[in-house]
Amino acid sequence: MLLRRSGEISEESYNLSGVMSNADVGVEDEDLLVGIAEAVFAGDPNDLADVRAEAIGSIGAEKFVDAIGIASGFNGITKVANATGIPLDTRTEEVTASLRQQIGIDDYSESHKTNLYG
Amino acid sequence: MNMYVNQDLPVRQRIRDAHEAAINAFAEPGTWLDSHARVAILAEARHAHSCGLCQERKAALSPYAVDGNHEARTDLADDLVEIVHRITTDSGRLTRSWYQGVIDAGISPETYVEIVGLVATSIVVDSFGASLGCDPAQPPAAKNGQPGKESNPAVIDAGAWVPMLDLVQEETDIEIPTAPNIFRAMGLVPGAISHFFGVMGSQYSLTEYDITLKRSQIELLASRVSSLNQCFY
Repeated sequence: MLLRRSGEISEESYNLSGVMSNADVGVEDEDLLVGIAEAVFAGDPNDLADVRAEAIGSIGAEKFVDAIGIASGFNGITKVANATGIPLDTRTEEVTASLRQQIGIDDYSESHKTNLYG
Repeated sequence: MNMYVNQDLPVRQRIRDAHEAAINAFAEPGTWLDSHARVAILAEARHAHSCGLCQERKAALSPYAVDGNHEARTDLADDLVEIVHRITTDSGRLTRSWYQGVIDAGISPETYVEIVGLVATSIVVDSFGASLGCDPAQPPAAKNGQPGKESNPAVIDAGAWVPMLDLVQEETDIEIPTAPNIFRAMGLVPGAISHFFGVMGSQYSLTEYDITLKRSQIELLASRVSSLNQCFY
């Protein structure tokens, strides 16, 4: 949800529903970055090799390494959030209520998971 | 150890240092777990995706409909293996009921939090290494020594499954408090916070730091990975 705030600060407009779907968000090198995110999450060595080669040839090695730093970091920190059941920070909860509902993030909420799995 | 020296990509020194320190820390006695258990947790986190039960559960509409035994690679107790494997392979479908079941079975919240930190740290380091094309860092040999088992009293019930660090909150200009809940989540075990965020802080910051990507690109990556992990936070 920081992407929303990032857009506000830089006065750029992003299609945030694309984060949860295949729609374009409007970020530079978006397709490649999404590919990196998906490959890091899945962890398949062949897919990682493919995306690594593509990224190095496209955005360069330094940006690729910085990108996998972000992706791998969030691949871990989400485990902390999911496994501890932390609530949203108060202000974030207030300002993102409609956005969460609009793009489907509420489907990952505690109440929704409890409805699904008990 | 000199991590990532046998590959050509430009890994920042702060990341090399943080990852090496984090892997070595698995071999130190923790706050609630001894070194042997911590090293075993690293091994189980690395093995979890190959576990047949975890694969069955991952494929099921509900992981709670599939019973069985985990295919453990270590002598870690079964209830601890369940925690490690579930967090590693399917954290997005964990529920408060599952957590409560873990606690009711006799695992202390402090031990649970230490495990969460170890698993998450291992995932950051190993995801990064795999993305470079590197084999996982060699696990350290367990060291002697016992966990201190010192509770942190500076925690409160703030709506999470676990007590969170009790800190004064001030809002920043990005609408995130100075101590966001993700930082407070492992407050029961301050050592878990420093272990995890020692790595995470080398790779990401909410404020300006030395990185080649634009903030929008950083947050797109973060958002996409969070979505794939079914993370509400």
